[in-house]
Amino acid sequence: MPSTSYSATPPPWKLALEPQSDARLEAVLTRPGSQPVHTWFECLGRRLLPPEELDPFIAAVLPMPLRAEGAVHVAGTLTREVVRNLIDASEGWEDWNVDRYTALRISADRIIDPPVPTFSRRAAFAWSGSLRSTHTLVRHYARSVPGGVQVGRIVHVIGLQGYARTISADAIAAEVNKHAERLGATVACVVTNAREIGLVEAEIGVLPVVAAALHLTATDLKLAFHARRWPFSAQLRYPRPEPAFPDVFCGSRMLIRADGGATTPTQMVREVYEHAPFLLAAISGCSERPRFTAPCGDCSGCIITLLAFAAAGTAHPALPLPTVIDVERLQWSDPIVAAEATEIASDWSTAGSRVHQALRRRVERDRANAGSVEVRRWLASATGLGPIWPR
Amino acid sequence: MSQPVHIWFEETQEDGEVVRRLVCESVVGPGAPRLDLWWRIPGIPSLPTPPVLDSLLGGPLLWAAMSGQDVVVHGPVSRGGLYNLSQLIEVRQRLSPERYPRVIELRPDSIREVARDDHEPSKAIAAMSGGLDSTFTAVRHGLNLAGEATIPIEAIVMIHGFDASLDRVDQFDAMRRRAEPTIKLLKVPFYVVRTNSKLDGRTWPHSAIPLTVGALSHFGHLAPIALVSSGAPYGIPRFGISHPTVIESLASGDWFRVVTDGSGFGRAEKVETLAPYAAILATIKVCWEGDDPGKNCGECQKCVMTRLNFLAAGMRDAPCFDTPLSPELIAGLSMPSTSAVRDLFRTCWNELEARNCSGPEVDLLRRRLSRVPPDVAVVWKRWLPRPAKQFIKRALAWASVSRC
Repeated sequence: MPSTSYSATPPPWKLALEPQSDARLEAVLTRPGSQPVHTWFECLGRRLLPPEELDPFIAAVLPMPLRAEGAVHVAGTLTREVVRNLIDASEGWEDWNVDRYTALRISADRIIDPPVPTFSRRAAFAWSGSLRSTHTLVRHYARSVPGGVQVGRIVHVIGLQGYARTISADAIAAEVNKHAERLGATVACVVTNAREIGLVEAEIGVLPVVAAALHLTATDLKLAFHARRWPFSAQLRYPRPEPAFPDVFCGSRMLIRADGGATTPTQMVREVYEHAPFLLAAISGCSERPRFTAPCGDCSGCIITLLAFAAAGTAHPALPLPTVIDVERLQWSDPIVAAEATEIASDWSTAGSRVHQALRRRVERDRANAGSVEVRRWLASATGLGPIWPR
Repeated sequence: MSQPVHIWFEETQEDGEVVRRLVCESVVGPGAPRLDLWWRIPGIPSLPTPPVLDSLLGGPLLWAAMSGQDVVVHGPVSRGGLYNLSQLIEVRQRLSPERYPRVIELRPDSIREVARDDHEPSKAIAAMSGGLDSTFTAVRHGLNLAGEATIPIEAIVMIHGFDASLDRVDQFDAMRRRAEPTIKLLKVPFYVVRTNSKLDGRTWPHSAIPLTVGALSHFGHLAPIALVSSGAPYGIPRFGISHPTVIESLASGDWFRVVTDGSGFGRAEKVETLAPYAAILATIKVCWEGDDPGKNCGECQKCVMTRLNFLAAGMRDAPCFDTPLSPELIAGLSMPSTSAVRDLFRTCWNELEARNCSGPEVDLLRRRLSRVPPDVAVVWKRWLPRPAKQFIKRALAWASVSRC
């Protein structure tokens, strides 16, 4: 239950900026009896200026106090908007899973309350290299979204996806730069230790870290976009709290807006193909290797990307064409994979190919399976052998 | 493709009150080819004209989307408003393609840059219907119960034309009288907006928040935020029918933005928060089915569900109902299939279970919920012969009894 009183027993966390080096911005989260958590951000080829408000750091460390209960005090300034938004988000996470998350009380030495910025003409875009983030970037670049804005900066956080450690950050940054040049945008490639210190967790995802990177690198633009991680179709099948949140990483100095989530993967490939075909080679959904390096081609993320390209009537420049075996290897237990595969099956440009038929059969099997699971759960519930259903 | 709907904004003063209209032409469907959406603000002879039309457009846009017509606005819209409203349509179309056949386009005459005063604090105009959610939100922020997340309330607005139809003045008056203790407690200015913008309710409840924001926006010169209570809690994030926060926030523009409150709280938690204010709890009005507009009937689905929320909060005899909760009321709940009882399960049963509530009502509810057939079984049931149905029913009853 979200707490409205200030009578919690655990001592509060304290978040403070560390003395800054030329290259890194670092903050430390401490609590009596706990190991201090040092989190840092570094921008390749560019010096990050220490922020006047600590909105980026409170966003980045959010998962930690959320899991460990208590209040957070920030030694410095926060904006009113980020305080409200993150308290709201924490209440939401607690409402979702009270055993895992706790609503937060956030305070600061000083909380300022300037008006929230309005939409500017240029914005920063978080670009992970995924199909979704590429689509968000491209539809604004092509101004195909009403009210869309100019791509002023591209922000990539290195190392949030994939596990290979043999590729240097500079090589990835060079690859991002190569593509961004063609969009006429500047690039900020950010390196952080957030993942290593446990600030990226499966359910909450990478958004807090990406939001922090946007806050740190795009203050001048006052507006940034990121692609929705969880498509709306996946939310219909497997509801989660995060996709229901409004833009909770907005502060009073900067808007961080979610974009997209309503377009099928096939349509996304079509739009990228139409407006920025030079970006097709950069697209990767690989969960095994870092983005902007060669995708593995085997994981479900890669297979979904292959299928989306095939459904749009083209081929991924760096990957082979999908096969029936690839369809069988899809990890249907992952709701995003299941939702996207279902969308691709229903939006196939030249229907009737063997791969398309295999995908449709897989979707039908999934539907039948969902029905039988529902009946089994009902029977278990009605006979007292299982928990009450519906859930 | 249908011709676009053209929308003009008009503002007049009639009988000493501000009247604002959106004149919609080339409309296809009910009311064609011209519709006037109006808002009247009793007791207010003049108001500053809104600099942009963003907040008034959400409702008509959804309604035009149902007939697949693009919308041309002959007036200014902010860049943020245009983006948000376009996203609203895109998302709604994705979620309900049967209702919105295509993603329509919003084309304003001009895009205007608007900004609030640099020194204006973030205050809110709050919507109040007198229900549990809106009362919770008003009290939580009006009495500073949300700590650092509190948004000071500048004014409260009650809308006539949504829950109470325009011809039911008695119902609206009763609704307003019930809310008076809350408004007095909060000590903030109170306004009424009368509007026909709900039209025939075809887009309801999708348009509930956009239309509420439209009504609140007439006071947008007083505060930059429209504070509305949440529909779906984050813990049960349904996207299909209701109005989840992520979609509600798309009714925002650069001039006037929406903050949805209370999504992190279940309804029993809201009752618990209001428990120290017994007089306020007694004013809560959730029922729209009873004969007496001033009372909760206590028997309809909404009333019984609210009674269960009170029970979860430890109040069998809720002060806003005339009689205590009884098992007969649980027995009268309609539970045809899982999708029909999902709200009941999520907003009531989960909270009762989490609080280890017990009693004859809880036992009966558990028994009934455990036997609700899934949607697929309801379809099969139509094709089964009567003996087969009876056999399944007996088998389930036998299995259930033998487990006990």
